[in-house]
Amino acid sequence: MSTNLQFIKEVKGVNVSNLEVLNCFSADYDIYKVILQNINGANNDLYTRVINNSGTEISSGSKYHYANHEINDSGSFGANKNASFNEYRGMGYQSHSGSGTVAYFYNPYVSSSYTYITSQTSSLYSSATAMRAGKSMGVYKNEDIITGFKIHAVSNVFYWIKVQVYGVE
Amino acid sequence: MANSGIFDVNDIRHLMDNQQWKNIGDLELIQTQTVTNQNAVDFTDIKENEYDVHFLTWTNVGDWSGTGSLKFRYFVDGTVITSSSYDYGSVENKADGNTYTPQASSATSFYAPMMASSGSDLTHGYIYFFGLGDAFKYSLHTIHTVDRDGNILVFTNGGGAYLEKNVVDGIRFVESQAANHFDGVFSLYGIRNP
Repeated sequence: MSTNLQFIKEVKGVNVSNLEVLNCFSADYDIYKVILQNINGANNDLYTRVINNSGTEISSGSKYHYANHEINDSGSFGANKNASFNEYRGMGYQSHSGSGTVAYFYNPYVSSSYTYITSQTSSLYSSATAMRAGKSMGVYKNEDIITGFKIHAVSNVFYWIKVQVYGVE
Repeated sequence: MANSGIFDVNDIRHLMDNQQWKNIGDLELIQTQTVTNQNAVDFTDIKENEYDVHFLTWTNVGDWSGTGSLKFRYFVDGTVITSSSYDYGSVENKADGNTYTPQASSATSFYAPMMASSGSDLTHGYIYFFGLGDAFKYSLHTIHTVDRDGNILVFTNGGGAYLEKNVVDGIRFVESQAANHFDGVFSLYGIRNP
């Protein structure tokens, strides 16, 4: 039974195009909670790749599958999905006026399991006049031991980015 | 507890149970409010300077009038903000398989919806708030709710943004209809910062 959050790591970056969060997953937990906040020079998706226990960022092989639902304050919806890609787009957005995301990673360190991710996000953009929310799910479809992840800006740089990782005990 | 200077396991468990043994990442209860027949419920001591991320739950909230919905607003400097400073976007997902329905608005005077108007049915849900106490960032939230519209289960998810860079120091949940009232339990937590 889950009883608490155990803090594992906080990583911050300023004026960076990506952020590595290394050695945050281990055999200690099956589920991890990730809180991501950022401000970027441009409004766009961001993308995430996992890092295996050799320290290699997985950027080939089309092993990422995801489906995102975007919800705008205009009432319009958007979808971003892919069943064969080299990155996971969905764990939040990069946003000029700020973005907040809560995500969960499931079984990243279990070598016999795929790594699943769910997330929910809210972001403000267009000079703080428009809001986009999102709900996403994805999977890294390979049975690796995953020890970390790397977040990339699709465009521009993160003026500020902060990631906190907790184990769900 | 007497201060002997040494904590044994039972001491620590006792302190943890009473939120006096602090750990980074703890979900710390700020306040629970159980309300009956109220038009609004306020959280005015949200400890916005202590937490970067807040978590709020509500359970068994019912609008017995059957015509209203629950909304929320922020306090800044102790005053409820009723100006057109809120953006939100949500989607209603219904168990009968019908189309997804947007619930969204830009530059409006509240966040909604949190609760479908559904008579005697109860709503439950949670919100994550980001950066309420940071005067240099916009405050954001994500939201999930579950409710019933008649006999149909409704699941709503989305988010919102406060369009001013202010320190938010309170949260008010309010019935959309001034004459209507609701019951329910609201709990506000902070996630202890590293």
